[in-house]
Amino acid sequence: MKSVILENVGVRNPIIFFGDNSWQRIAEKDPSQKVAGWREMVRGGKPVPYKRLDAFLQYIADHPEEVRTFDDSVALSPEDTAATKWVDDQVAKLDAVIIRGIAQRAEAKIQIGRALNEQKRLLGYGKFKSHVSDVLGSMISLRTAERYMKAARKEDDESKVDRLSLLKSASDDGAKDVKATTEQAKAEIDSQVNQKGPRKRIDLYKLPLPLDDDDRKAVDVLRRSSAWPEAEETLILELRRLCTKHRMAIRENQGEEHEDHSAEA
Amino acid sequence: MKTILLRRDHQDAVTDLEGKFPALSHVRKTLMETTEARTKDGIVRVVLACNVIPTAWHKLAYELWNNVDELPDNRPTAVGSASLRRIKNDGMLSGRRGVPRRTLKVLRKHGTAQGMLGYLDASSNEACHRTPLTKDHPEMLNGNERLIKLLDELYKLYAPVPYKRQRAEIEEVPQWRLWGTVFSTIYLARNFRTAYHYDSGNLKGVMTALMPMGNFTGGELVLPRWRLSVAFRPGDVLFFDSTEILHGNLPFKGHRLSAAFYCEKRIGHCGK
Repeated sequence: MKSVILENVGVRNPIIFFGDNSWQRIAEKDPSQKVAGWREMVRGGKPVPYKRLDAFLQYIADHPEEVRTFDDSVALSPEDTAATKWVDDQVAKLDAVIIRGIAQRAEAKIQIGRALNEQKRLLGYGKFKSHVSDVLGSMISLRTAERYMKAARKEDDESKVDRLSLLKSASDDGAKDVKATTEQAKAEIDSQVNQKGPRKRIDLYKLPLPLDDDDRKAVDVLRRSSAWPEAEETLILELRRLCTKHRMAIRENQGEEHEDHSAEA
Repeated sequence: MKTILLRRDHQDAVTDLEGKFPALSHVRKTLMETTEARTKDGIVRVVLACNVIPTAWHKLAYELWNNVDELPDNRPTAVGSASLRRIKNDGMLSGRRGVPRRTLKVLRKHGTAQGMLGYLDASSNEACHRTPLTKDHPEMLNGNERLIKLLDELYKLYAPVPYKRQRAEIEEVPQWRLWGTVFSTIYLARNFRTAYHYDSGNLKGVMTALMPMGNFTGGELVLPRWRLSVAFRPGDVLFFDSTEILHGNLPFKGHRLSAAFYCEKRIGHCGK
């Protein structure tokens, strides 16, 4: 089978595409093929600088003579596969260690910078300078200290700007349309709730609930709000559940509105 | 592959952004080439793989998937609206909640639609099942078998740790996955400019593969937690944990179809 080698498109291990649209990673296909070598399979040793896969595949289709064939019956032994995988895993773990270290180093610089800024604020410039050279001078130069302080100030300023800029919402037409229609729908529902007329008063306060003044006020606010119908349903369900749990009889008047059930229970 | 460090984490500030639309001012850095982004703990959070899907394959997928026609009435947060009670035809308020009809009309005008392919896990009133769209149009799935397998391969290559986790989960229920891959489901979104949201139905602690298709400009995916945007194009794939990372789209022009390949949250229970 004639095979083509995909130019590295950012993949650690290149993928081979075959004429029948199947694919396989090169390491699994041909262990003898080194990363440096796969480029040589096209264009007699010159790397093919194709960034886009389709352009590359088109080139291969147009220049079949530049595509070398290789025996694709060669398979990786289980030991080789395990060894390759082990190396990949170790490299990935070490990558993580290095990146964590780099991040901690950057974070440490900022923290040192913040501490130095605070010291400068407390001591004043003249004393601060001598403090740095006398006490910390063997570990950090004044110049380095100033760099850290500047970095800390920059970090704090940018964090503040970042937080503020996240408060701005999008104002494009699509976003505006959705916001406007949602507001209209909310208004419609509110008016629908208000149009329902005076509801029957449920004498919640006759229930054996230990409500103080604040609780009563909160209940009144809730009952006047648009969230009341839903809260009411939840309340009735909860009361029913409690009645059932404690084996209390529930009398229901079919003719009355359902909100009266809670009071009856 | 290029690696960047996500130094500044705005996790606390972004909690208020859910349901709001992304703006350009939320972005400090844009990924445009194959890159993996790691946080300070060394964990890979986002991987963008550019030009990894052959053109013919994503064009075919676009043709097969572009006719999804369900309105996203069950996704108020992603739509950017509120979840409101419906007003019934008789003027009474319904107990059912969702995206308001007025908003859905606007979305329909923009050609917004969604669809689900593959399998869904059990809900309160339904056992695990194939999605209705898959039953009605099996060609939408079968015609893209090689693409789905390629995405599985790319996921394994670019994010091996979450891949392994996802494979362990889905191998418990092999009959509920797509051709031996780690994906159980594909979510399709056509011309859907999303507000910031989390994908709550996906398996946690793994990654979702996101693949845009069509002919469009803009539509970058914004991850406000790191003030990061991803300018991905047809042929590119993005891997990130969409259950944990708040995300949304910038506006776009043209026709855009986006496919999210993922594993359903409770798919592991389907075999029990």
